[in-house]
Formats: sequence, structure tokens, C-alpha cells
Amino acid sequence: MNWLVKIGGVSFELELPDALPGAEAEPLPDGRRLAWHARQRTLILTAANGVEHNLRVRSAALSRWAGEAATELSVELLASAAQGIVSLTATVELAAPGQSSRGKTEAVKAVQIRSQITGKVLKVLVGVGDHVAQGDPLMIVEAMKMENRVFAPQAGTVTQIAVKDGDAVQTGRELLRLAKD
Amino acid sequence: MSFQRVLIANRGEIALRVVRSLRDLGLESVAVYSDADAQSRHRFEADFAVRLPGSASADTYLNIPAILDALKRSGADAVHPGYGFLSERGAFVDAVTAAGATFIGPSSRAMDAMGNKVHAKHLMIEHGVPVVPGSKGALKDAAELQRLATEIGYPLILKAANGGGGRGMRVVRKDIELAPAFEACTREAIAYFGSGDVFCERYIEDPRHIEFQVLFDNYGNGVHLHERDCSIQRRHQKLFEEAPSPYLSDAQRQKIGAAAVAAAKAAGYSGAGTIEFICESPERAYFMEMNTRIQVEHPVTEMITGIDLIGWQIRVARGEKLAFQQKDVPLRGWSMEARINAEDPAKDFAPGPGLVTALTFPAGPFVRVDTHLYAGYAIPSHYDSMVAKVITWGETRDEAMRRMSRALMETKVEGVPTTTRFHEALLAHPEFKAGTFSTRFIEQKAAYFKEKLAGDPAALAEGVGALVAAALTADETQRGADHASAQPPRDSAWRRAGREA
Repeated sequence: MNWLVKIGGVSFELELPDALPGAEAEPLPDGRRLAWHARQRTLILTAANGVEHNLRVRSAALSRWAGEAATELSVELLASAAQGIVSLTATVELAAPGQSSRGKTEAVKAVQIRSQITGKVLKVLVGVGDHVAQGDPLMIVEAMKMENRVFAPQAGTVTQIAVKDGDAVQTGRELLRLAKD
Repeated sequence: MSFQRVLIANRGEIALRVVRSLRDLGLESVAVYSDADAQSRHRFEADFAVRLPGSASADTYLNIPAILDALKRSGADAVHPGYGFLSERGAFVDAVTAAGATFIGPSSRAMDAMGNKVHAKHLMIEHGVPVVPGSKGALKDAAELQRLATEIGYPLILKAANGGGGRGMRVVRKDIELAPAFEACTREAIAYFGSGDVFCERYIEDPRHIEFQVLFDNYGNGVHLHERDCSIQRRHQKLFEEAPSPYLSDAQRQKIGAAAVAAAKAAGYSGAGTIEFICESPERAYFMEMNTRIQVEHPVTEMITGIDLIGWQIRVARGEKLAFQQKDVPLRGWSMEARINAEDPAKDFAPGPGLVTALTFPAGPFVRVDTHLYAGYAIPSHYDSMVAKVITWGETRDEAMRRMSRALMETKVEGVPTTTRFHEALLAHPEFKAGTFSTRFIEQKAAYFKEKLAGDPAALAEGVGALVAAALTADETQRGADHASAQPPRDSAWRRAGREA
């Protein structure tokens, strides 16, 4: 299946099914090409002069959320640069061509907060309609005998809470939404 | 002299090894890969990669214009040659330098001076380094060879002046063999090495192959990093190496090491190099040749000295001075290296390229593995059969050896044959354990290796049968013990679980 990938504001199609086999995208407008080598877990960005830049993937996972049309590709990339080894984390939103990607218009004004870990919701600390400041704790998720606080990435008003105390959550599960101030 | 991005004109494990040292130094790496190596790990492990179209070595890793083109396109400002391929070609050094990049290795002048065996031997004689008795230079004709044969005595060995890797050599034991051997050797020398120069020297029947690692900076400072014993060879190809050598005393080590440093200094050498000696006895070590590059077996030296040799090649090339003197070079413990080749030792080491279906390499204390293999990788048939090096370290030779046995036991390669079993047979031999072996060890113990490696389905079945029988007997004994103990075992929890399962 072809997916629409957006990297750095440029959209292009990439054959990238769930199993992530090898794939090569159409050239970017500037002549660069992006290819995924499944066996080596490497994204190769090839310049117009043929020189390949290897972006090694430490982890890559496709997540599709129930009830949502889009799929997210989360990639941790490693690359060496003059200043040393850098680790980049990118979440790329994938949408089948012709389909609109998830929450495109809503995303402008709403912030989705997803669980960063797999665990159990110990306590929801806010309610719908509450105004929170950046850095305010929103809920506590427990995993591996440790309590992890989820903080507001920015100021806003809680519009929706998707979980309740005691719920088991997977990594990536939506916890709540904030309407930006 | 300062550089930031280094092109590695090589492939496989050594290309990966160079990427690692570059990364440790904060430098970027550029791999080159042939079409046959499109799935090779070095392509992906380097920061950048450039394809060299074609698969034959001549079109790719030996193709100077193609490599220079990759150098230019990738923006690399230095080249590391690895071993083999173009690593000892003075013309390549000159081409890289002319392109405005730094060559990580000695100057083409030093390389050519040491690369030609006849020149190198002259230089050694001038500087008082002992050499094997033989011709003073290239032989003019068979008549000159006949005169020398009378003077030195048989057996003699004929060698192509520009040869290497065990090719272009011939042993002569009688007058009658002399002329035909000379003609054949000259023919091979022209065909494979581009020069018909052939020289002769005394053939030492049961020699030890002992080589000294040297390291020089660009300012004439040089040290040796002790020796490696590479006597375990098959048809002049090294299979198993260790450092130090069980053959040398410390006094002999210092004496030969000093000769090695003098030899390299005489050639105006810089970077890492290896002086190979052939030993008739510990007291009689003769200069054989110098390899003006990093060696396959360099890790055993790194293990006993704690010095990153490839890291130092790079640092020397960017103009750094050696940070240590001879007295500061440590010699701690013992290290061994087993070359894992995709060859079947039971079938006369027949090469077995193909798909690696499953793979586990050893790990744990004092074990190092340098390899480009991964499960799912198809070993191409175009290049060398060496696919991994298993390296161990121990406080003593015995500990390094036991650790090697353990590491080999952990090594599992499915889909292609490997030399792992050969190394196990080697480690089990009492003379190897005792450290008394020459370069003819494998040849002399052919019957031992044949028996150890042949594999015998009947014996295997018998062996498995015996194991099963032993297990059953143990079980019966246990049952007997259960009954004898007069405790009714039928209600024990595990029996109940067994019935319910």
C-alpha cells in the first residue's frame, strides 16, 4: 500500500506496508530519494549525485489507533555527524492517498496527549473544562512499579478525557486532548 | 592533514572495523560497495555510502578511477585502504594524494620500497637485519639459480618478487626440478603480479611464522607492539593467530622487535606495518617481508596492548605524534584469534558461499567478534571466504585457549559451512596446547584433522544413543532412589502435574 509521508513539510508517497519490507519512494522535489531497507533497518537518503546517507533505525514501529484512519510511524534514527552520534526521534504520520489524515484540521487547535508507556492509569488529576498551565500534571500512569506523571506540553483547556482510573493503556493510546489557548 | 570524512576503500569486516575507530574519533565514514555487496553490512553501517557499479574486484574495489570518483562525490578528504585490494599499491597512494585527500598509511615511496621483496631484502641487509640466505636480487636465469643452489643447498624456495598471499611460490628439492620450476614461477609472476622478477632463498623446513607489529608517526618516532605467532596456516593462508608467541623468550622478543623497528625506520615508514620473520629457531629469526598495511590479525595485538591500531593509523595520518615510547607499550596476558571462513574443513576447505539462515556469535568476558555477517545475509562468491574473527583474551595462554573453546562453542552459523570445527580440533591437539608447532602443523597432522573433521553419521547416532541411554539410566536410578526411599512418590506434586498435563 502507498502511504503519504510528510518529512520536513514535504509530502511524498512511500510504499510502506505494516510489515515494513523494502521500499523506495518517488524522488523528492530536490532530486533526493528516500528508501527503506527492511533487512538492515536503514533509511537511505540518496543525494542527486548518488551519495547515500545512512540513517540507522534503532527502533521503528507502526501504530494504528482504533477508530482512526491514519497510522503513525515512530522511528528512532541514529546518524553520525561532525559533532558526534546523534539520535533523532521522529513520528511520521502516514495516510493512504486520498484519505485525509487524522485530525488534520483539529490538530491545529487541539493537542492529543498519548501515553508514552504501557501501564495502568493510577489517577486522572484533571477534569473536562479544567484549564492547565504548561507543565501541570495531568495524570499518573503506573508501569514497572513506578509512578509516571503525564504533564501538559503546553497551556490549554481539557476538552476530552479518554481514560479513567484503573484503565490499562498501551503505548500510544490517547489519554486526553487539550484545546490550545 | 586534518580531515573529517574518510572513505574506506574496502568491504566486509575490515570496513566495519574502520568505521568503528572513525566513530570513536568523531570522524565520518564513507563506504563503497559493489553490486554483489548491496546487502553487505558495511554499506549500511558507514555514515555514507557510494555504489561502485559491477561485482568483480577489478571493476569495483580495485578500480582506482571509480574509487576516486566516489571520493570526489562524497566529499571525503581521506582514504583508509583496509587490507588486501589497493592497500599496498603505491600508485593508489599517489592517486589519492593527487586528488587532494590524505591517504591513511605510509608514503608510496616507503610502500614501494617495502612491497618489492627484493628491494626490501636489500634494505634489511644494509641495516643489519638478518635475512634468509638466498639470491641477492631477481634471478637472471636458470644458470644463476643452479649456482646458488649449489652454494646454499636444497631445499630452495622460488618466489615472485611482487607476489603475496601464498601465490607465486615453488619449493625445489632436487637439481632436476630446478629449471622447470624457475620457468613456471616466472610465468605465474608475469600472469598474476605483472612482473617476471623471481628470487630464491633457502627453504626452512619447519619454520615458525612470527611477525612484529610496528607503529610509526610522521616524525620518525616508532615502536613495536610485540609479536604475533601466525604459524597455524594452511597452504600459506593463516587460520589461527596468537599474541605473544609461545616460542620467544622476552630477551628474544626485545632483540627481534628492535630489528623490526630498525627495518621500518630504514624504509622511512609511517603508520602501522608488520614485519614478518621466519624462525628456524628462536635464535634464528630471518626477515621475510613487510606488510605496509593493517593485518587481518591485528586484534590480538590490540588485546594484549590495549592500543587501538586502526585508531592510531588515523591519528598518525592527521599528524599526531605517538603518545608512547617503547617502554610504555604494555604486554598483558595472551590473545588468540580464530578466523571463521565460509569453508568446509571436512571437504578440504571447499568454499561455501550462500545464505546465512541463523547466526549467534559469542560474547561475554574478554571475547571480541569482528564480522560483517548477519542472519539473512547471502555471502557473495566474488570475494574472500573469511567472514568473521573470534578473538579472546586471557591472563595466560591457557586461559585464552579455554576462553576460545567457550567462544567457539557459543558460535552458531547455519546455512553455510564454517571453519569453527577446525578450530575446535586444533585447540584439542596436545602439541597445539603445548605451543610446539610450525607452519607445517596442519599438513603434518593431516590424519588427525581428517579423523576429527570427517564427521561420521554412525558415530553420531551412536553418540546420541549413548547420551539418551545415559539419561535413561540416570532416570532409572532416580526412580530406584524414589522407591528405595519408601516415600510414596505417586502423589508428589510434580507427578500429579505430569498426569494432568
